[in-house]
Amino acid sequence: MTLSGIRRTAAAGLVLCLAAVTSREQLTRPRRPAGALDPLPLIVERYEQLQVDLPSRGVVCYLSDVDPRTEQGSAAYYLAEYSLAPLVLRIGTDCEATVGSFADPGKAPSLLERNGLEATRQYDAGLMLLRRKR
Amino acid sequence: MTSALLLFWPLLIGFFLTRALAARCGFLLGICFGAGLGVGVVSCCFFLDRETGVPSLLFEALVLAASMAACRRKRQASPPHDTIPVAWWLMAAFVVVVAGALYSFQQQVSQYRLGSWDAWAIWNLHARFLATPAWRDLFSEAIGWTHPDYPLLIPGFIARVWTLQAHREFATPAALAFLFTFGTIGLLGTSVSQLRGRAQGILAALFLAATPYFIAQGASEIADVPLSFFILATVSSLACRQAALAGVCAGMAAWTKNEGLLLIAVLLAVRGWRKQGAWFIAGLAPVLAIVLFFRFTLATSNYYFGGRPAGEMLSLLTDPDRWRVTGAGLFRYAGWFGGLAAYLGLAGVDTKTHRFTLLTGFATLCLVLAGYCAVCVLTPGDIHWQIDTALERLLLQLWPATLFLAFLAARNPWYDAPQGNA
Repeated sequence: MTLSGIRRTAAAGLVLCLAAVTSREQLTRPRRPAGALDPLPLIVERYEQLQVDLPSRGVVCYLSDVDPRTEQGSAAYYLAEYSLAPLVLRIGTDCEATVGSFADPGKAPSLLERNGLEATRQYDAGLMLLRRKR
Repeated sequence: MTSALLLFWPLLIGFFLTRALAARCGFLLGICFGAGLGVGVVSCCFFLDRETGVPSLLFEALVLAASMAACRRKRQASPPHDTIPVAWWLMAAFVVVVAGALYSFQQQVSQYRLGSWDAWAIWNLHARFLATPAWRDLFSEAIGWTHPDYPLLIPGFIARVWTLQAHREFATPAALAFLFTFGTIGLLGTSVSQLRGRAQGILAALFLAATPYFIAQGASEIADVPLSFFILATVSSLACRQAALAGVCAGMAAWTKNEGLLLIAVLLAVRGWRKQGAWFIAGLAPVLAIVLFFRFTLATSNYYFGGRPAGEMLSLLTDPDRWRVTGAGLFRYAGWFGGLAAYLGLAGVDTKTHRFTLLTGFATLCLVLAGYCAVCVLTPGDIHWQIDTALERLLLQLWPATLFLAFLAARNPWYDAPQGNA
């Protein structure tokens, strides 16, 4: 075999190896277990319950028992913003309305007390609509 | 399904605009260019709609009508078809790789219906604002973490479709991601085919489809793959001496991500003085005007450059340790370039036929990469985190255009490919 023939065969081999290796990688990449649901759309649906009781635009506050500076807390806050957009959610409690999101609803009463808030409505899964105590 | 149907309208606009700007562009190449260009045009029109109150459809219809009229006047023969048959094993390998890529893409978008973190926390969140009359609230300081300074090509298009659908389907961003991911593979294949023959085009497309990270990033619904589309479109249209089309594509790159502005600056520095520079600027100007209007009237300050003293940035830029960390990151993430280098080593390269294109193309990509590295060095946060989360995506933005130039230069070891359709 000539030098150009060897190079030609090696180049073909390289292309075929590349095709085989990447196809195997694409087909065998770890997947979510069968039957396991993507949790994010469910969270978005949860927040959609609040939309009827909130203004269609403007700024409302956001309070949670998970620190928004942690990865879990910031993910929860960002998802709340995503779900309720175009409403702007600001972390704090000094707005006319506050969205409360509690991973552990048992912690809600003390947190509300400390911030001078009361629940005007409660929804599923630790979600509450809050306002300042009168 | 509705999302898929709604993609035909931008495809139509993009196809005729491409044919109007590049009269010798073949049908398939027109479709591939048109896919991305049409999305960009619709997004720009939607932004004008939001700003002026004039319906987006009117702007879109005007662009389509003007493009169709220009096509009728400028019609020229398409480049001759390459009649050399493609080896069965190459075709089979291509089909297997693309099938694997399609399967992988479908799996990812069906398992992560909101896309990746950046997709829902940035791009699709922006679209949720833009689709409503309260869209200006996106630029509120309270949600500065969502990077309101990012340009609006992706969110603008998604919002346009959502306003037509009257609700916010998760499938719309996924359909757009599909269009850009496989549109980029198609654009690479057809543009290399036009200059170097079908076999070479299939090889180039195979290399891109066989980059699992490219497919994964495409399916994650963020803007890096769309930006890679426009960088490739710019470089390939310059190679075909279609400067006006290249200008529009470069403008769309800047409307996709801020990195596109760097591409424009580099292109003007590398090629601006050439005879076709005026055509490039003519194509660029309308889109760039929209980008600059957005930057100066709406966009908030940039995470990297906003309000930082020049002295601080200079001291970071001259810190050798930060450059060393960035350089190490480049080597860590540039694994795919190794496979390409091995192939080029075996196939050999011919740098004479497209000498000017290769020289200016590689110079452009190298300077853009240097700019990306400088931004990593300048990051106000932890540089290791920056390298770990951003550098591989930045390299990916340049990967399709690198493959284009590499396969323009590569000898085809199995065929005597036709040359010089440019």
